[in-house]
Amino acid sequence: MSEDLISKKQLLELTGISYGQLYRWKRKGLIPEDWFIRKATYTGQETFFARSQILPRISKILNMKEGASLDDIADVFSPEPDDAALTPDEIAEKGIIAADVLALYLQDQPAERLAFDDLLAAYLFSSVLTSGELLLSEARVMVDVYFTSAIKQGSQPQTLLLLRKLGVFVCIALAEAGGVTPDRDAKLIRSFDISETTEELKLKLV
Amino acid sequence: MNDHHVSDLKINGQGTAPGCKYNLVRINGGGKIDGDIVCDECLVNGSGDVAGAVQCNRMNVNGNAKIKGAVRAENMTVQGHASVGGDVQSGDLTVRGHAIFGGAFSGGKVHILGNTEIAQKMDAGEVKIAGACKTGGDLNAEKFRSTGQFTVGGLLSADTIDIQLSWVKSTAKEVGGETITARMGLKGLSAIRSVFTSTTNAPRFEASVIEGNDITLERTKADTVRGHNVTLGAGCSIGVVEYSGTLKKTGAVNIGQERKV
Repeated sequence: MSEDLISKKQLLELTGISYGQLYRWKRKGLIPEDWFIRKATYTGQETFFARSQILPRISKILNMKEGASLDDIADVFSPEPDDAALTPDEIAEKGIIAADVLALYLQDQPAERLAFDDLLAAYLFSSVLTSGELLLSEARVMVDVYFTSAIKQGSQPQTLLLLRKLGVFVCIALAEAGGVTPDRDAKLIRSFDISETTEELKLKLV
Repeated sequence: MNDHHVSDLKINGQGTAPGCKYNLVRINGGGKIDGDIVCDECLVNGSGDVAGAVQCNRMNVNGNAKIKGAVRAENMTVQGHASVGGDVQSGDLTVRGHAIFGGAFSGGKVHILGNTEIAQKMDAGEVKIAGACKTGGDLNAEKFRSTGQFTVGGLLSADTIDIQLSWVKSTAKEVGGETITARMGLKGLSAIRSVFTSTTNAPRFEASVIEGNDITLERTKADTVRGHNVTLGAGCSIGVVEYSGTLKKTGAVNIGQERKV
């Protein structure tokens, strides 16, 4: 798979950040070690990044920098779930999930406080319902698949695929990121990259 | 183990004790501990041999300590010789003697006056080296200052990197940060030494790549130097210099290629 690469030099030029910033962000874990791709070029060793990965990350860091410490930002980008557990009132107050949608979710999964995993499930649930992509019963199936997969695999799934064929809804949880080929008549309604959703949710929690 | 009855362990002659939770562990003779210990203070004055890991608030090695597992401490001081098989995590680390860590080190303030060898990487807040330090992997810090000698097997990265070159060569595979300075120290003893060594222009600092905002170098050999403002002084031998701001040369320098980007 050939990816569109950008050299470190080009990246600094394009984004206006300095070497000092880039190395600081690397140290703080804001940019993962394995994003740095080393390649031998005619001018010697050079470091490259996947353009599609690094550019959105840099712009997110720059946008968050106001007011947030580097450690806070590092938490957002870490794949580790946040350890804060929120009450339904706090969630509605922060505007993460609308109160009525959250109430629907809590009918099936009653809880006094939602840990990050539950919050993520509720967030997915609210996302597909408010967009009108799934019916209530289908969204419930999705939440069920999410938790079943998490229990079976011992960790959150990487991807959630929502498909519909001839009006019948199917939800698939993938433990690892990878290509899936559904049959030609099946329509892919939505595909959730869970690590992206995690990041999105953490941004709302900051 | 009952938390309310934590006792001290003192070995003055020869002795073996089980791994357990203690208040104070003091080994004055030759002590062996069979397993992991958790304690407030761990003091090794004679020869101490721990078969497991150590978790404590203060660890003080004046004699010879050999720890097979990992060490977690708030404060660790090595005046004698300490060898740790696993990772070391310590708020503060001061080495006046000799320390060898088989794993990685992470901590806050690090002051090395003696000799330290770390097989993997070092993550710290502030690192000061007056003695000698060697890491197998990267060395990451907020502030790095050396008046001694160091060898970094990976990337040396800090906001400020201040290297006062000594008469023994220091090396890092790569260097990255905001302000990077490597200069000959012309104070005291090194001033006298420089009189005798000034005829040989052998590099005192070597790295393959040096990248930073403001870079000032003397007596440095590097394949590539990239930065905003770059100042190169006497004895520099650089393959390629790329700069976006200014490039100043203050002495006899040897540059293969210079590019303004």
